[in-house]
Amino acid sequence: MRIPIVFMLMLFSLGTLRAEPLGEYWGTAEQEAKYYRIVEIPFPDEMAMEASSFEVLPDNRLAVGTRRGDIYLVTGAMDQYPSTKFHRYAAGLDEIMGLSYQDGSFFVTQQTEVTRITDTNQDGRADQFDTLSDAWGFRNYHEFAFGSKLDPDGNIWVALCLSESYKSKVPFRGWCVKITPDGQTIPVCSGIRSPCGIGPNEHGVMFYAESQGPWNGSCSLKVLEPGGFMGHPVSFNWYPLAKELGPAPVVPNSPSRLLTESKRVKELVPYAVVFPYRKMGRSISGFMVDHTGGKFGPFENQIFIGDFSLSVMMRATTEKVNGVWQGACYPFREGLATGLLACQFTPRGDLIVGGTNRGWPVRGPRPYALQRLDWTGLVPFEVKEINARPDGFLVTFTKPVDREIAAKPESYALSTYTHLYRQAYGSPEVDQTTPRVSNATVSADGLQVHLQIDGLVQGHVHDFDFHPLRSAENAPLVHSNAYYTLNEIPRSPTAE
Amino acid sequence: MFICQLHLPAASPCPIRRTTVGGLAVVKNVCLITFMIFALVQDASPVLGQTLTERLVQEDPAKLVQQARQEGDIVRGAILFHQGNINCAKCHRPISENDRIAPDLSRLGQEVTDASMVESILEPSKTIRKGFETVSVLTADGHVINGSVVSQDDQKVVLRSSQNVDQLITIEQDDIDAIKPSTKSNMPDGLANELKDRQQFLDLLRYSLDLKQRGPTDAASNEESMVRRELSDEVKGIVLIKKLNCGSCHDWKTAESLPPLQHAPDLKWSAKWLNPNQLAEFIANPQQVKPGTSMPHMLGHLDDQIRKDSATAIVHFLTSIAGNEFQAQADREQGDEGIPRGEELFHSVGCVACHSPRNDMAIEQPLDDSIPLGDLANKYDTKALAAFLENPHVARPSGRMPNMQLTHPEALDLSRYLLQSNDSGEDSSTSSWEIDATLAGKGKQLFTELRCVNCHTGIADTAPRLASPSALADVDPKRGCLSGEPGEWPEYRLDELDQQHIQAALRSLPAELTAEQEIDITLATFNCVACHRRDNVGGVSADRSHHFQTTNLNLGEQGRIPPTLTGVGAKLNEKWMRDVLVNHRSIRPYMKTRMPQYGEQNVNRLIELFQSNDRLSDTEFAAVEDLKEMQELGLKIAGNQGLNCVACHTFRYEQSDTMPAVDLTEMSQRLKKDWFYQYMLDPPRFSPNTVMPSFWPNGKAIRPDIAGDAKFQIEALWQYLLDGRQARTPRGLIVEPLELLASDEAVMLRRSYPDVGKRGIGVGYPNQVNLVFDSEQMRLAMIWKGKFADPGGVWRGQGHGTVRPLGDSLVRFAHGPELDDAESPWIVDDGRPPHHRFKGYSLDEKMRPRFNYEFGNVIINDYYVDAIDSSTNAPYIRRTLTMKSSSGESNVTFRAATGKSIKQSDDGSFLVDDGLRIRVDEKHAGTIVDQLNAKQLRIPLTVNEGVTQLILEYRW
Repeated sequence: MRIPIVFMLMLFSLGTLRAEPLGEYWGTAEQEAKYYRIVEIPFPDEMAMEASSFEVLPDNRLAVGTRRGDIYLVTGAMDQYPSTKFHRYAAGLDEIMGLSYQDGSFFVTQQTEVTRITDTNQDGRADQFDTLSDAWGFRNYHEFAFGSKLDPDGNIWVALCLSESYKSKVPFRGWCVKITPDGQTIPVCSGIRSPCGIGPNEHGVMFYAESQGPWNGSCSLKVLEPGGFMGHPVSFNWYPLAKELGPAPVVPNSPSRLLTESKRVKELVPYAVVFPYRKMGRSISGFMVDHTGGKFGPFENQIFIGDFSLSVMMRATTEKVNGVWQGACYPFREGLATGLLACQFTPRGDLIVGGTNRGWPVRGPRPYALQRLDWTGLVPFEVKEINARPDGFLVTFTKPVDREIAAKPESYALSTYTHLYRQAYGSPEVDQTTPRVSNATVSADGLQVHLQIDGLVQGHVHDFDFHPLRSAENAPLVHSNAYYTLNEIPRSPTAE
Repeated sequence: MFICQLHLPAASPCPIRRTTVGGLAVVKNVCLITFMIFALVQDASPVLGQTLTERLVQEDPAKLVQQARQEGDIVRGAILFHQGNINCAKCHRPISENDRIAPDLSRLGQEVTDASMVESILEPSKTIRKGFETVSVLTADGHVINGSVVSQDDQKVVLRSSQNVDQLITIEQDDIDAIKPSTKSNMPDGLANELKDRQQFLDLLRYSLDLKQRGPTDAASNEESMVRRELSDEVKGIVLIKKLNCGSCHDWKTAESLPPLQHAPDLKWSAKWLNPNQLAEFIANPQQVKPGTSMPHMLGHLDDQIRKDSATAIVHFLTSIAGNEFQAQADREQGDEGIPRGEELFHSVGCVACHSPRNDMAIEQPLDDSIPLGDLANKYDTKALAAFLENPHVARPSGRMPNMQLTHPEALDLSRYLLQSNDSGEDSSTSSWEIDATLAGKGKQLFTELRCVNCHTGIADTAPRLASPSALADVDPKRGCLSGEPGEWPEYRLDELDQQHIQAALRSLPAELTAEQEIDITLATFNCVACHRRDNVGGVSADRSHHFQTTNLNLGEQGRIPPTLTGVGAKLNEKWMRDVLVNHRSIRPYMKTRMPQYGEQNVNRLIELFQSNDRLSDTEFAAVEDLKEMQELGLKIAGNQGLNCVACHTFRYEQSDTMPAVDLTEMSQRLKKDWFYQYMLDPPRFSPNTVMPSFWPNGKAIRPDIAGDAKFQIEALWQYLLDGRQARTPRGLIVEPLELLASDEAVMLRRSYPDVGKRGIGVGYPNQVNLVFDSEQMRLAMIWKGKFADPGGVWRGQGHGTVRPLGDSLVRFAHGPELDDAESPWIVDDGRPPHHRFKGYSLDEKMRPRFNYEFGNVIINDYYVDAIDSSTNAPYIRRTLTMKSSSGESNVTFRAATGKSIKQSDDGSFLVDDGLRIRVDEKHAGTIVDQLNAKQLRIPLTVNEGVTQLILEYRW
């Protein structure tokens, strides 16, 4: 990766005065467009469509929750050529960062509370707003609340941003709490910094998207393990309000490494998928798993996640190894029009994305946008998934590879690094190593390559460069990089 | 609205569009010009009934000059000088003597006194400068034409019209009855009345005086005044050779590198979507069916019947591969929906830059150099034409027909428009098409034999080419394809001029083309020159000019005429250029003509050529010693304390109130630094149509007081702009006001309100009363009258401000819950009371909330209605608290108000701080309780299983 080095040099020469560049483009938009088309979902000019959450209704209307606090029901958003009608179902709410629908009611996470919203007189507009929980404090700057969709038990999981994004001044800032259908509020885990998305991974386990900052060297997807600690210790002051979780964990040392501290602090949950800063976004946001049954292309059961700053969509896969969640992230589609906050798969198998560029620097050129990614039906040649193996990695591709090239170890470049785990903001990549691919075995169908590696490093991001590879049809990869966070090296040949 | 008041009085009849979006009123300046004129008329017509001009004429010009020098803002003056409604720069600009409409102020010379400048602005006809005299011409048929004489000879007189200075009128001497000198200047009277006020006059005068004093700039010649260059015959010939695809049969290596790389239409697409009968007719007789087509006649040597049969066989072959979905019948059943939109699109997005415009009846009005469309209605159905328009490169990969970035509905509307005019009824050519296998077999054979395969690749497994004809360089133009005679060759039937050009090219076919030649050829091939000018080639032609439109007249010609491409490679970063040419990026929202897309493979080479070929002279940059200081200075320059860039330029999507000039935060992404430097010093040199003044004419800052010299200031601005989207917001950026207003229903917003905290719920009621309920402390927090609120503080930026109540008569209530234990109330602060819980709300038929909350075991429903007092007609708030408790609470108190003074009146109501009157219902008794430095109005309550209702009325 040459680009980041250029960045570092620039930063050093200019000191810290210059605002940091937003991040490099992948430069793959023109290729991506052949496989995934960006379709505009039109909305009236005067409508500030700051989408921050989505849901699909049983009648196939799209529900959009906005930062301005409206819920719109949209007809036509899923048509091949969207010609839309917007109906305002509810208004006046406070930053809707979570939206689901069940049995005639919406379940909404807004900054103040989780609310059940119903249209009791059936006139098409909500008239009943029941507060299910507002048990958390809400008094200070930047105290955003991100809510999951209803889980199979009818709970909503809410990730609560810190006060002013550095402190925890009122109850449960920096915690995840679970709101049950009867309005009970159950503290789940501490240590959150600044979430921007929450939902199940492809195995149905609740995850959230964390942003780079103190105690977070880079953005990451983390598992919301009950009783766990997500890494930022400033929220330890609320353990007395969560007696069932016991005493607060040991405070981690700073600066250190996550792997080191996770041995000292038993509640500390390793960050499952690290998104290296700027290469893979810089404010990862809403995500959703592709359960479209192949209608969205070859990435069934993978996580699709947006980025607010860079206006890109990425993919991620997770697996549990030695009892710990970990996985990889992959570039997917760049060139979206605004800062992405949320995404939603439709029954047709398209992916709707939206957001706003308000408040923080965003690459996308528009103040807000609703767009849809439609699969064109052509299968891109991509790294589909990377899985850990005791001796290396199993890399799966979307199309058969050119066997000759893929069988050569020198066709693969691999570097590893981790981040400082520290109180200060973010971290450079540190402890770099360059493992060697000793052997590459191509499967009979040409879809998988088993890489045997000298020098796997536990706790490090393994940064792959596959650019020499070609498909059997001699096409290059659409994206030649992928990033695997190796929290654990599997003990047995297959992952749990 | 409050910001708008800076510009216009509240009672102005200015046409403001108020779009109400669910209670949110957005005030937009729709038509700024009209708006300003209205505003001007108002401001310029004070009690005296005099216009600004009339008032200024009465002042001593010398004093005005003195005052302008002291108080005039030169930057604002510069902007006014160039801005749409006054636009002094349109006529007073430094261009060649002959084209000059009005004196170049920088060349007035010292004999023109400062005071006489004042006179010339206010009373232009009083003294007319030599060379700009006007005449009145009486024509033989009795018309009077006023204007200034541009030229005259024995035959004719050319006048620049006084009515429209853009218009040149040629009058034959024979038609002239009399010419007499006129006393009216071409400069309109009362121009100063277009100014907002006296200060603007001083600003404008200040800048004009500066122009005169400074003397002529040494600007390089202005592109617009240069004679247009014609491409050489050889270059035109090469363009034709590419267009006609001669290279598919004749070898010519040089041509292979030139775009387009793929040529003829994809016939699978044509066969699938087009009318097969029409296709057969076209193949049999291309020039006759579509005059001007570049498809050669391939069957010219055959007799009529064989020709028709062959063409039909070929279409059977093509449809046998691709199928056919042509459905003319379906179209006829459609209505006229979308046709007007299609007409508007056709004449605004850029179609008529190449094709002929159409009249109201949608009949083509042929113009020179138009690309023919042929009989579309007979060729396409609506769906097919829409599909073609939406993505033309699927059917025609050559890119000559560009992608106009039409959305699907736009493509449909345009398609309906183009197909409606000549609905050819039950034409025989629309009869249905059954594929005949035998004919298809014959067609397949013909397709190869007739060399169709040479151009139309990818159709079936083509046989090897026929014996290769001679190399292009050896072609004899008098024989074969170019002879105009029928034969076993493609017959092009070129006109004489085209023949000449091809022959010229053949005579001197270069082995290698220069970069400039390649650029010329590419720009001509894709007809970029129909819109853009480059090195004096091309540009919008006079007869198509009016189809280039703008959304904002203040930008002048720049707002509608696509930018020059001269030196564009020295201007734009490669990445940005690519974004514009390949990735649909555009930066000029004010231009209705769209930048089309020609296909990545067709423009890649052009990007390379622009980037490697275009160079600027060396630029000396100012040194950056203290970056932070430089950026601060740049920020100041961009703001209204400096050169006020934000007066015209958009800043991070936020438009200025005058015009949406290119977004400042994208400059450093787009532009190369040396170009930026040179442009800043002399904008018209690079952008002839620009309304941007130079703030550093001749390299000298017009605001030397800001800091440093010209280069230093420009460097500071550049350093500041380098932060792009992350640049700090300059002072003076006008932010469009937001208003959230009640309609005939209540409007609500849950956000942070001043002194309420983050869990405020604001409600604006139809009868113009408003309140905030604090859902953290369960209290009425504030009430006010009039308009509801400005949500800017929470709907802009990160959104961590507060909602600002609009309206008036705001009354705040004390912190802490209203309903509490009478014995041991919670200690009041701004924290969360421990025994209160918010439960939500329901909305009544007017969307007015009934708040639900709990205090211990007491369940409360708290409902506010905007009532009207029957005696005074004034609105007031009627509040109904409905309470019950399963456990029975006898010791509860309701604290209705806290104030410095609370008095009970004779009618039983309570007057709080001499402003708010609270009436308690008859079943309850309020008591005034003394506290340290304050009084409280308390209402003791007993709440049990039955319903307790407390009704309060608030009048203020």
